[in-house]
Amino acid sequence: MWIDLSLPFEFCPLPCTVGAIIFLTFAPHCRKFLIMNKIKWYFPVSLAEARSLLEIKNVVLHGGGTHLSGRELRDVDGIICLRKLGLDYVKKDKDMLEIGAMSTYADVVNVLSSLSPQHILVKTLKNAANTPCRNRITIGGSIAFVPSWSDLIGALLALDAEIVLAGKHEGVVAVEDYLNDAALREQTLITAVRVKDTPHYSAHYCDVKTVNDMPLFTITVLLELETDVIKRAKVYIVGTKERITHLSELESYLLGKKKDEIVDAKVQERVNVSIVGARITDPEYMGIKAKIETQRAIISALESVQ
Amino acid sequence: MNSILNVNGKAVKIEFTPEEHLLFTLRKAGFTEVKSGCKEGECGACIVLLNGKPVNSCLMFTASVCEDDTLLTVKGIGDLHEPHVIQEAFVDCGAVQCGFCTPGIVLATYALLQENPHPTEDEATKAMDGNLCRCTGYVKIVEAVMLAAKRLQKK
Repeated sequence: MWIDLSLPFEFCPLPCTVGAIIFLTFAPHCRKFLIMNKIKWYFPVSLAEARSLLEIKNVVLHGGGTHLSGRELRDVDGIICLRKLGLDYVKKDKDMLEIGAMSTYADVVNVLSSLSPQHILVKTLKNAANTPCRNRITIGGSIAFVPSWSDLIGALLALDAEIVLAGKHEGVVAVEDYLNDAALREQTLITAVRVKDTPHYSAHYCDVKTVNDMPLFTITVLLELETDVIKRAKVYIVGTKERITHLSELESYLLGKKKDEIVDAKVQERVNVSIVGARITDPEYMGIKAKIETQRAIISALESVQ
Repeated sequence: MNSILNVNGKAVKIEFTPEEHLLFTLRKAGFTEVKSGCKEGECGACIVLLNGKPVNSCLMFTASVCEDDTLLTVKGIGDLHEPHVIQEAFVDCGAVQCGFCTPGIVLATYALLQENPHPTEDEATKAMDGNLCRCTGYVKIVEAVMLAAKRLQKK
């Protein structure tokens, strides 16, 4: 008699009883099939209900599910699905945009393409991931589970975005503070992101490795000009050893300059980053590439239409 | 867990575990035209249209799909006996070789042409950015998309 169960068991070469004992002892990935938690799904219809559900132990939040569906759920007892909270919206109020946390990348690109077509979020999100993923990845989920190469985070940092939170840490926090303080994630959900919608020039570069089809690092440049002179500059590289590198020295160099006053070599010498991913690429080469692509992104931003 | 899914215009009773992915639920329910490929959202073989938009069913929990959502698989737009214009265009252009990626690509094309009936070749290529094909080299696939667009315009 042979074990005839699901995939992990079908390769078991031993008779049932002995095989099962050995297999379950030495193959922890199989044990989870038997000791699976009974996960409960919750579908709150109001923020008040969601807040109270956040107090339950071992619950996780579900936005579009693209991150969570690939995650190990052994320690999860409950999943709070946020889709019925009405958080899929993009609103413009004067110079501010408020984006609901459940808006997908595709939603944001669609709405902003008519509201504010040159907005940096259109440039960064329209090419992020791929079409079916853009239809599922939510803004809130992307902030909560920032991937090392995030297309979104550089733009949010450049825009001085604010994150609206509900739950234990109710309130509004700067995106930088949210990223730096893991405690803000405890029993708290993101309901919206607020960003400026003032005129700017921008560029986004994403370095993709074909070995795994994933981006390695992203460069985000946002510039504000006054009579051709740079009066505000924000440059971020995401995917570095520090995860996110703010190139403040480069920003200082750019301030007060016109396009033809920018010297390529001086830009490049102010981009000193270590890129992760030694297993799939040469970090030294990628560091040089980051210098060149940052310089190109600045020129590209200055040549872009406002 | 139990639920009713609206697949290809029909209500389908389903049973699934809380952590089950939509891909496997659909295949268990007999919708084997939804293919299981990479299972990490890269290849697009498992694409279905959720409320008209292409999504990777391997990256979705079945529990997150509501009863008022509509799901469309490739057999929902046409089958062997009554193929859709897009499916005919793929055959006519030789855009199918092993055929494993074809259901996902046909649905990506369907979604594109619903939204943009007159795509350029660049737009067609971009719309396929979530689909991998290891046989055709994509040239004939893009030709098929353009042919389908042309034929649909004439209809």
